[in-house]
Amino acid sequence: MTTIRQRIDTQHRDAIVRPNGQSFPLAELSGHVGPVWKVSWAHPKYGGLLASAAYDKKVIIWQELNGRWQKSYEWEAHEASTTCVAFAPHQYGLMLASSSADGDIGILRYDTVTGQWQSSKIQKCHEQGVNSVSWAPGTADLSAKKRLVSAGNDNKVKIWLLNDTTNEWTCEKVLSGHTDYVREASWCPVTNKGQHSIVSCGIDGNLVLFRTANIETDEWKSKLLEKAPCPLYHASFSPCGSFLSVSGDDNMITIWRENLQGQWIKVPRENKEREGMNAGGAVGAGGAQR
Amino acid sequence: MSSKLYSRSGVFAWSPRGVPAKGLVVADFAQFFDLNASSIEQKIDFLTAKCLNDKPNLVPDVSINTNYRFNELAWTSMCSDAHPNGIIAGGTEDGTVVFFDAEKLIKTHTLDVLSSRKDHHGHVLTIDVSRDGRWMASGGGSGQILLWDCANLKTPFSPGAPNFPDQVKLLRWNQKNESVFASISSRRVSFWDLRRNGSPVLEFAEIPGCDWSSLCWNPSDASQLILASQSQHASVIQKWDSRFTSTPVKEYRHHNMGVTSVDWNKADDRLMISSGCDGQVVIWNHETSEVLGGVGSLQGDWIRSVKWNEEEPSQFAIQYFQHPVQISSLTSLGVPQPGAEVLATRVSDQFVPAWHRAPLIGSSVSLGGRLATFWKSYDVMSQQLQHNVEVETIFLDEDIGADDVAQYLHIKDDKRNLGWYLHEKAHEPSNDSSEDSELRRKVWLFILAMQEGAGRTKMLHYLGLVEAPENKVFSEQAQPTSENSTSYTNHTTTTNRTERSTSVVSAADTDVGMLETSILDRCCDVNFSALDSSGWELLRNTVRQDHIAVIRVLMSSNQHVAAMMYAAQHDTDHLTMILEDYNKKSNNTNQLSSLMLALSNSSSSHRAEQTDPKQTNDAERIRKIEVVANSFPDQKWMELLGLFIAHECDIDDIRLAAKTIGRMWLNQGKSLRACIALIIGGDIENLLIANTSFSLSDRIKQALILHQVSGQKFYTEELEKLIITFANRLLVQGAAQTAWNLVKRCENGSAEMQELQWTCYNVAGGRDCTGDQAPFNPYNVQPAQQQQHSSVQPIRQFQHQHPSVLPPQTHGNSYNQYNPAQSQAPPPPMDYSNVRRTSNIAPMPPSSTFYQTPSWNHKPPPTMPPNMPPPKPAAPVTPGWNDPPPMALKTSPTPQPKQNVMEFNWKPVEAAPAPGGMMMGQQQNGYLGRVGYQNMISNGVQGMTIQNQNSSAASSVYPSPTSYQQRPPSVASVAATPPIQLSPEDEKLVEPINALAQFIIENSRVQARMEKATDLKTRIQAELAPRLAANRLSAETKQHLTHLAYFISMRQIREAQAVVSQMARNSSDFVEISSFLPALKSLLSLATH
Repeated sequence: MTTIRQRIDTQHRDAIVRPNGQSFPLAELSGHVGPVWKVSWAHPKYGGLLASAAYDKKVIIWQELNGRWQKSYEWEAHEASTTCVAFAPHQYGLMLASSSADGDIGILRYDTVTGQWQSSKIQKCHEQGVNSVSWAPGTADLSAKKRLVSAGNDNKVKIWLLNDTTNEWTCEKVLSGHTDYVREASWCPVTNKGQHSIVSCGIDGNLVLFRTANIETDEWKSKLLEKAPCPLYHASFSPCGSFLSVSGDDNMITIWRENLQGQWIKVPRENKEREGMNAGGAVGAGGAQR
Repeated sequence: MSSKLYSRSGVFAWSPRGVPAKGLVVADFAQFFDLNASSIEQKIDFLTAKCLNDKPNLVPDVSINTNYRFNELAWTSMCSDAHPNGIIAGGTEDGTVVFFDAEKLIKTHTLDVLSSRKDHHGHVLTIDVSRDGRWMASGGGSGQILLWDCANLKTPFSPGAPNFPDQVKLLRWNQKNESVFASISSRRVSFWDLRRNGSPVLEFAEIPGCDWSSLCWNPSDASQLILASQSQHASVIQKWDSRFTSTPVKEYRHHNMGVTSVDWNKADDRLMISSGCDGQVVIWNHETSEVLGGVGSLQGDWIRSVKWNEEEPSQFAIQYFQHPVQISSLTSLGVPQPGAEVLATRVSDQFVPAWHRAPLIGSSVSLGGRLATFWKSYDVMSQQLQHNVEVETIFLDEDIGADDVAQYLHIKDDKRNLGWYLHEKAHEPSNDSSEDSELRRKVWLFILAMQEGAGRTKMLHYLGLVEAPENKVFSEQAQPTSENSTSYTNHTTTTNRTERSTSVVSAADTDVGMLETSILDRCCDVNFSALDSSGWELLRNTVRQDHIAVIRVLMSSNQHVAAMMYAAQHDTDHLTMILEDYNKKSNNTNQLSSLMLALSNSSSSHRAEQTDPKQTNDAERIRKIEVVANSFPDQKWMELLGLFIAHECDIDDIRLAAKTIGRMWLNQGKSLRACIALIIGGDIENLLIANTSFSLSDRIKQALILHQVSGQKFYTEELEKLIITFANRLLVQGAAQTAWNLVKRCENGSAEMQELQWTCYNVAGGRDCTGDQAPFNPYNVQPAQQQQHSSVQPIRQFQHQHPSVLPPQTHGNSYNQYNPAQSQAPPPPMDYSNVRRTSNIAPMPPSSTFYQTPSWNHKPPPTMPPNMPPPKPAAPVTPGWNDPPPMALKTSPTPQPKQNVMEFNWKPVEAAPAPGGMMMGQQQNGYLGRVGYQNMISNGVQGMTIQNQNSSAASSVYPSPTSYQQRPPSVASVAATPPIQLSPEDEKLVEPINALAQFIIENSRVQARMEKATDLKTRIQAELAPRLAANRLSAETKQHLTHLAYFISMRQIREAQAVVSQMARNSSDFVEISSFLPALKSLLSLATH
């Protein structure tokens, strides 16, 4: 009946998507000289815009025009590998944040008046590097404060708040709950009666849920959802905030969902035997990215 | 990228992997005495990894005074209960090997010496631990080597007597085989195997002039090792293979003075680090011998050794002779040390260490519960890593009717299908027999009635007042059906009652002239609430036009006069007059007769006195309708509607009445029956208020059908809001296509609607997937500056970029299949880029290099009559919208830098065939200080490009598909390509194939097909044309090709395919054919689609 065409972008030619044998790469974007760690789509209202973060320290914004992809902007201000890139909620305008292993967070904002990308940086966010950034959900209320959450190699999760008048980002909260590098912190894209949620995962295998009932006044409460026996790398919310997928070094994807009582529970799911995954030794599973 | 200096100099050992304590142990270096040192206290320090990161200045966590000074330290990873952090061992100058417990050192800050036996004659220069941590081997003067069992340190073993009493300078265990280690003396390398005691198993690398100083094993290949020579005359680093010990496998010259130390990174076996007497520390790739970077080192001092940190593969430490130990990292070392910036590590961005990899697996959840998973897998057969992506759907929370709406949107313009759809909807089997479900059924039936334009009878049937006349439950031709159904009542009527079978919706004008007075005017003085059951029976029967029944009822209630009138009414009007007169005179107030009077369709002169219903104002009529409706009892709502449907003469009146009644019911809270009335009345706004008990998708459908029936152009505000809500939910559920189909009909919507349309269009995949024109872009955010028209352009002109409205000269490039002479040669990219600058058309963005037009896409110039002016070069240059885009970024380098590049005659190392050549090549670009290696990197890159260009220019004579995929068409290679001149006969063979490919390219809407066709075209071009030009094809093949060309030009693809398969079977020169035949086959199969 209805299908959404898969629009998957990949830097690897062999990473062609064939879930049903009908997908094919729409475009190949070449411009990075190192591995690409993360890509992020802009809201469709801005057209086909994709940002990518790569080892070569660059953030590249790609644009689709009439089915053709081209490099729209290249930002090379980080001093080490760019680890993550995330477009802001569309209500904030065309804006993105990037994190880098040099410990900084970069903010790129498209100025519609001048037609230029304007960049700024939050310096020294995490010592030894930032691993991920994620935006707080946007609201239609334009006066709402903009927030970011970042995860870093200093075992901390930090929340950054933009002061609209001075246009400066300040560290609002430092959340702890990890004993090793935090790989990813992602902000739930949906708020439930003003309740914000952040989930972070790290090398120590901790999957921690941070929650606050009122982001302006209340403190964040942390809850250890799971202590996995292996490093966890990714935690990703579904756009409706009802699902959470977590992936770790044991090559397992676990799905979590929120029940009506607001508890996050693991969805029982048969672990698919991924072909050839057992040959982990061949890929040097031990020394994952640190 | 940073470095830090430790507080003092000394020998060091990193904590091995597997030991809980992480850090660096540093002790005094035995073979050094600093005359200027203020303190001669000897210490053993431990520096934790945490301290290394956290503190700007490195201060040891543990520092113990000791008498020992060491030549080398080793730390075994074998942990036991007694030694939870392993054992540290060091070789001293006097021949003692000291073992002490790491745990005690770190925790209690004491030096717990486990063993300090003096078994060596002369000094102990080196000590190393085997990979499994079980064995240690120490070596030193007079060639003596001793083996230590870490579990039992009581007595050392000897692997045997050395063949040569040379000093053992360094000793390293194999990283793969626990029983093998290698030792070096100045002259040679010796392999020892614990399984073969007595003497070294192998001695090699006796190269004159070399003074071996360092050794390391490949961590992933047991047979590979790298040796370094500290001789000033032969400062080489050589890679050796233990299976082939006569000559080195590879030689590296990264240092122009003696090499002191070399170490192999354990986490990335490509990565080497080496240090030399020139004070340089170089990081390089042993596979490509490319220098990747280096470290800022303290000048004026020799470097004694460098060692990677096994635990943190990006870190390494440097031991100087005089200066403090330097610790460096390829990434960050945390808080920087002030003043240590000059020591920073610099590594080429091009090189990505193996430990810097993305996780093996990851996932992301998308709209619609779609879960995308990527993972890497190792294919044992091909011995390659494969990247996989999988998209699956995890179950959705609730179905909001996306499929249902999609189905509706699909069939909504197909009247018959939609009718069936609604019919099924109305007659859904349901266990619920309550009044509500019955009403819901009726709501759908009336939607159906509206949709099919049902006649009055049909409506009455749906209402339940008239039995189904026939089995035919619904039909597109409602009017004939109802005509049949009513005709049997007509034989006695004089007034043409069949008119009432005309559509309520559309055929109101046929009623004109028949019933000029509205039922309304005649009914308003009837007191319906006073009617008894017989009265209702009567009313029903009149609605049914069951005249006999009517008369019978009248007779039974002793209203003979009325009965007579009713009977007579169908013959003449006089009877009516009589009855009227009779009523007036006798002042008969009986309700039945007055009702009859009202219902009788009089055409008497009396009628003229009635006010024209058209002229009465609506408010008055509404009031009257309300009066009538109010007088009806609550249970008789169906009769109320039926009354109006059956007896009201004008479509507008019916609607008005239905609308009014609907609103009334709505106010009374009877929403479901209000729905029916509002549907009849065509009141979408109120319907949406009334039908809230339906699901959102059903509400939308009802409103949309009603909207469709009404033929209005724009959505009402309420409907638009509902559509926006629903489309947003569809988007969340992942049904973007449905959402787009839902919103795309909306014109002149609100700002929110326009945003939603734009969003849906893009989420659904834009033009490629939807096949629709792009909607108005309300955002007008255009991040690309140059490529866009200026932003002051009116917004609505966005379609200007659309291919279909490109200026007409675009079509100059269009393909003309029957006249090859007119088809213009595609321009080479160089020309193209020149002209494009003056073109006012927005150029296509450069896409991937993968689908580039190859530079050798040549054709002979078109033959022209001599008096014709030369062809304008501008015309063919303008790209068709489907043409592969130019590589604007890569094809237009200014010529000057290119020439500069060409002036270098230096060649990369691996280009030289023999080791001798390598040395010569390297010496020119010697490693000259910090600037030197940067030059070297850039030179290396430039050198590589030269070589690529040369090779590509050479290969482009007979280009292969792979060669064009790998490189963008460069100016140099274009110039180097000699055009292949085809004879006119050959050209005739090639041209139709090209034409066909071009045709596919131009007519394909799917990008993939387009790209495939482009690919195939270039491949056929590349393979076929040179063969034809060189006359390498047999006559038989040419014959086949002629047939093929004919069939293709006639567009007889099947025949052409037959020819191709015949070629494959029968041709004698299969070798030649096989190069282009598969491509031809694919092209033809593309053409059949």
